[in-house]
Amino acid sequence: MASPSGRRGSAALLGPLALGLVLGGSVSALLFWLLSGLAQPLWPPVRVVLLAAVVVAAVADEAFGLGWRWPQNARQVPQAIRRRVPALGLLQFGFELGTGLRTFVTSRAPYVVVALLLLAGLSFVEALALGAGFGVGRALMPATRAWHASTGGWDRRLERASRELRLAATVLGGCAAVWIAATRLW
Amino acid sequence: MTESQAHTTDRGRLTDPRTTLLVLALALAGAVAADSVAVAGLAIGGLAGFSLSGSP
Repeated sequence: MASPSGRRGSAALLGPLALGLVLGGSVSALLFWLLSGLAQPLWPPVRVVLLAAVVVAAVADEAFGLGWRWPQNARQVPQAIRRRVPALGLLQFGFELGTGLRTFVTSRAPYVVVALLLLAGLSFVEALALGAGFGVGRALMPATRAWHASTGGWDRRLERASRELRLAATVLGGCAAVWIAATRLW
Repeated sequence: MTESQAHTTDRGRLTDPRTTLLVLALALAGAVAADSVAVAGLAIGGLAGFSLSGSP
């Protein structure tokens, strides 16, 4: 698990990690937002339908365990980065993890975010909010784990809730994404 | 139950992954109700990021 958050004396290191995650998520979101210009020539209702199709596919894959292959780098950020100067190493580790481009993507919810960025015609601030939110969401994992009374207990709770967590995030994010695109483009 | 045990139990509930999911879902519902795309974006991104918890 990509968590540097042991319970002993590592709470202060969560700051650089969280900052890196938010920066990484924001940079990634802005890159996708820039690419969204390529979708501008498409008739707006078509963009809404395309986004809805991605959401349906993502939810179906999560709900029924279809095991479809979604594009991803599927490589871990090298652990050597974390062994450098702790704060800087964690900042870089968080940044690379936050981009979502140098890690395993085990949930389908991030693909809904990418589709929303590419198709919904968001403003700069809205795209930035999506990316920063992604980083914050990733940072919530080590933060809540570190604050929990027992990291082992937290890991067991996560393991039990993992599937419903991924499904709920995909369904809720997907519905909201379609709502945003429909109200914006239709 | 002692005060210390009660405190630990409360902290366990607060930091439960399902509680985090619920908080993010409520934030999203509030943003949709308030018609705020930026805040909804924050919540959607948060849900997506948190859904990767446990990824290698």
